[in-house]
Amino acid sequence: MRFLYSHRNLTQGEIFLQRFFEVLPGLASWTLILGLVALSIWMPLVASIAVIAFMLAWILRLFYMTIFLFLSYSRLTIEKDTDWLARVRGMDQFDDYLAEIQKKSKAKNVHQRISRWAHAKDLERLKKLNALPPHSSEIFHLVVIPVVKEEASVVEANVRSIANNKELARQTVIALAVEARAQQPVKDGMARIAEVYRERFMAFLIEEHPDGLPGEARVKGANTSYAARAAAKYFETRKIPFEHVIVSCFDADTVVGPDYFACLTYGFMNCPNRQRASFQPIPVFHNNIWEVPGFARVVETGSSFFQLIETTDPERLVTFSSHSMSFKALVDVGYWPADMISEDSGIFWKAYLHFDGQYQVVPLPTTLSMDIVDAGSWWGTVGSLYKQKKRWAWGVENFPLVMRGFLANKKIPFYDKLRHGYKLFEGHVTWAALPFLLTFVGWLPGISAGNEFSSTVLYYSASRFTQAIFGLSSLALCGTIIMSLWLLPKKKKRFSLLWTLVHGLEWFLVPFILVFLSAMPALDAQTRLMFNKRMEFWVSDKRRN
Amino acid sequence: MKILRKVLFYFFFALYLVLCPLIILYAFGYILTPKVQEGFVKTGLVHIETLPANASLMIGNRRYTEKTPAIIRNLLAGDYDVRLSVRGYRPWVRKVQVEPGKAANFEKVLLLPQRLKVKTLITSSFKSLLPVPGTRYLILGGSDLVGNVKVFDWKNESVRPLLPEGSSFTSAKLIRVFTAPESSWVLFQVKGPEGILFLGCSLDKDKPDVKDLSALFSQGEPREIAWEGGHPDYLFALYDQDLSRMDLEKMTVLPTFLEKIRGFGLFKGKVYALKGASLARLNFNAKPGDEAVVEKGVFLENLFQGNGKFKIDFISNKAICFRGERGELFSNALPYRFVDEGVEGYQADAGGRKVVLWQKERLGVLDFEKPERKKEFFERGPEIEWVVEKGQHIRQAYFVYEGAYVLFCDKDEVFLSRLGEREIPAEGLVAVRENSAIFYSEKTGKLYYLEPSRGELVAADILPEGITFSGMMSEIEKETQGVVK
Repeated sequence: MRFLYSHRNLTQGEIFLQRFFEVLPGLASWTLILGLVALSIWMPLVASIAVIAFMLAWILRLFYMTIFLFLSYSRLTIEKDTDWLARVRGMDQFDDYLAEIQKKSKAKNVHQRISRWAHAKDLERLKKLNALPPHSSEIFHLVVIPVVKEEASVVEANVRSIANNKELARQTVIALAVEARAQQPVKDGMARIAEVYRERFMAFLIEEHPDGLPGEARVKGANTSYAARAAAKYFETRKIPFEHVIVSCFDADTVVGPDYFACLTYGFMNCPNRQRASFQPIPVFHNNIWEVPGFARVVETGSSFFQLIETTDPERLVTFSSHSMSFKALVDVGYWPADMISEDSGIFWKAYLHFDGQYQVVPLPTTLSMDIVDAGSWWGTVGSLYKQKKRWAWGVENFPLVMRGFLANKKIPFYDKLRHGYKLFEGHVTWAALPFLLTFVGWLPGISAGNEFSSTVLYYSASRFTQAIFGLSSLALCGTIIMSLWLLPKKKKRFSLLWTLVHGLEWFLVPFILVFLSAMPALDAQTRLMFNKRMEFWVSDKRRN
Repeated sequence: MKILRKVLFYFFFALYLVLCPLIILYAFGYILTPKVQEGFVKTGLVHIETLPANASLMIGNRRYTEKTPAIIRNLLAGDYDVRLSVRGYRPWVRKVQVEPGKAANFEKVLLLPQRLKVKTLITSSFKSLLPVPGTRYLILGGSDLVGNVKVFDWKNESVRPLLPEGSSFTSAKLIRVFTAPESSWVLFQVKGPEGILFLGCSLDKDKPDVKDLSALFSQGEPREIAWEGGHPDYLFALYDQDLSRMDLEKMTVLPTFLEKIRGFGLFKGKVYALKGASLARLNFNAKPGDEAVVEKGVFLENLFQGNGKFKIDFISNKAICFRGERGELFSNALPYRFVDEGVEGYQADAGGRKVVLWQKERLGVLDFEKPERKKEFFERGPEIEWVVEKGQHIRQAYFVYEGAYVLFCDKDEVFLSRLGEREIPAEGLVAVRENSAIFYSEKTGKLYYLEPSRGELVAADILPEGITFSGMMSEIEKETQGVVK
């Protein structure tokens, strides 16, 4: 379906719908918070019942999510030693390879046996669907890296990590998307990187994106789209079909492992409907994790965990941050949204609507690493993190567009619209309201109780129940702490035991973080959207020692 | 994964559907009991907090392992005997009615020792004790002579004579002591060979510092003298219907600062006066005639009928009390007229939220901030909760344990009564010297009084030793305001 995935150039009716859906998430969040505050004051009995019902739902959900966090982490662990390149090459001789894989595994390692079993199932599915992939030598990668003010060292680490994907680097085109407004030293730095690494790739493009092109805002999507268009010309010139190109949009600070592109290629080949799919790795924030304040470490590890949990539900998974997709699909949908800040999730919704719901995100069992925001000082980092989270939470700008798209699109099944719409709405409202409800409002009926209510059994039960819930949640927190320790890169320092303890204790900052660096920026973003005060793209402060 | 996700989702969803109503029912007090035919019954609970904590708890015939503070849940409706006990303390026994879905709440239960711990502070014999409101000083009179007056600092437990050695006022006879809230400056009216004298004295000076201010009182003996602050600039003296202003620095008197008034009070640098049936206000340093009428109207005319005199007390920013010469007690809060006659004194709590007031035989508490009862046909204000109704001669009262108890002196015996338990007799604590005053400090948790037989100054621990409400020093000391009327 042709749908203008933008809040601009709308008809009067579309403007009304757009504004209605822009107001809805913020209104819901504020209503939840203030409504429960009001209930606590005027109808504490009703508020207490609501708090109990809400807290119970939250704790069950927490346990439910923790299970999937462990499952997702297990998946990562299982595939940790997988030789993706061997699988990619193996799939080039599909039938022989399938027969070999179907033989009983001799591996003693349980992980390897599970991985091999899952791999065999995937291959059988491909065969059954007659969706055999192209030969791996015919699959190319395009990596678009937007640059506006990033230091050369940050981008160089990114490019170097891609170059380290040895065999596949030769099938990779790097497109550095540099904003024309970037300062000369930044541009010079990019030119130097191109000079150093050009030989290691199929091609190395530097595309300078002019400011103020019609229909564009000063956002990352405009820059990356401009570079992708230039790359499209490159592929056209060489007669490389877009169907055989996987485009990856990497944040400038992204660092991938040496088998990342092998895993991505495998994911692409293994996906039956690979032209209607995005590929989402697990973003971790390990590049500078030991150089930032503890709270920032917790914030970003939390983000990784959230993404880990999300990947267990591919039916509702949405692209986030650095991601990959079929280049054909990207071209068909008209590239990334050029007037949205949240182009990472925006491109999924754009494609989902364009392909009438026949579009999915395939989780990749691999990680890529990015920088944690670091402004150089404790308070500076707090401020920068707040801004970054607000930018992420600005993803709520997708909601009105998606809802308008759903109303306009008659081909997407109603159930799918409901499922996606609900998740998008609930996800944002929960993000903004839940920590406030948990941290403050849950206690309000007890605190603001008058004599009448404070002499009821419910008054005592509600506070006891809230305490019990927090006790139980600490169990989930303990699980999270353990997993964060597993996931962390080793610290290159002595006294690692001490650091392990310190990092474990850092997790007790969660209540503060949830309110001030998660809920508050989200509520801020939703309130801005409610009042039509659009955000400007803000590049996070990142530095590398 | 998809199937697992669905299975787990439905499992957790089903768990929620089952648990949520069960927990809510439990939260309301419902339990499933095999002893009762109905199966599900709605229970109540008892919540008890004591000082000292860790009291053993017995409800009905059951001894609980929980120690106070404790919440005992799942009690079937009915009457229970609740008994608290701590070794060395008097047992606390109450009959408690447990209602379904309700909590019987006993917060701030003060357990009294079997024998109060009493410490002698000064072995000399005294006849009278006068707390200086809002300060740490007690004025102790050994005889009628000023030379025998001692000043006791209860915070440091130190004593010194009021007059310096060799003072010419030593042999003067003490007639009256004027004090003001939170002022360590005190005015003594004495009778010397030269006649009536007025001596001002700062009690907080290291050395006794007495100044003769008799020259300011050439008009005679005022009915009332008031001032504001620890080192006042002005004194205000009421002579019949005229208020004089005395400038302590210039030693001058403005005899007609306010004329034809029925009473006055001071608050934050302003004099408030009842003139006829209207309330006037003017600054301490204002000129006569500058007064502004703050409030007047028919309702004030109805309230302040006649020509009776009133004393105005600012209990807090919001609450003002008017005490009439016949013992009337009015307030600016609904229903304005609280007691028509016989109020002998009152004492505000630390926050100025409530006052304990007493007549000769009755003692009650007026809570200005008690929430209004809803769904009443008529709008109502606070009401006096009478705690004691059969006293002999109640003379003084203090709030104890953050306002949960009232300690009062009836005739020459001190009692303690818990608010809200009118039917329970007050507990007798100690006997005091005939007609002497008492003082209670929440800061130290001690009752200061004169021992009945020898007249020694002693202190009895009312709160357990070591338990004080720190950070409330100034607030608590205010409780001494207006004790002796």
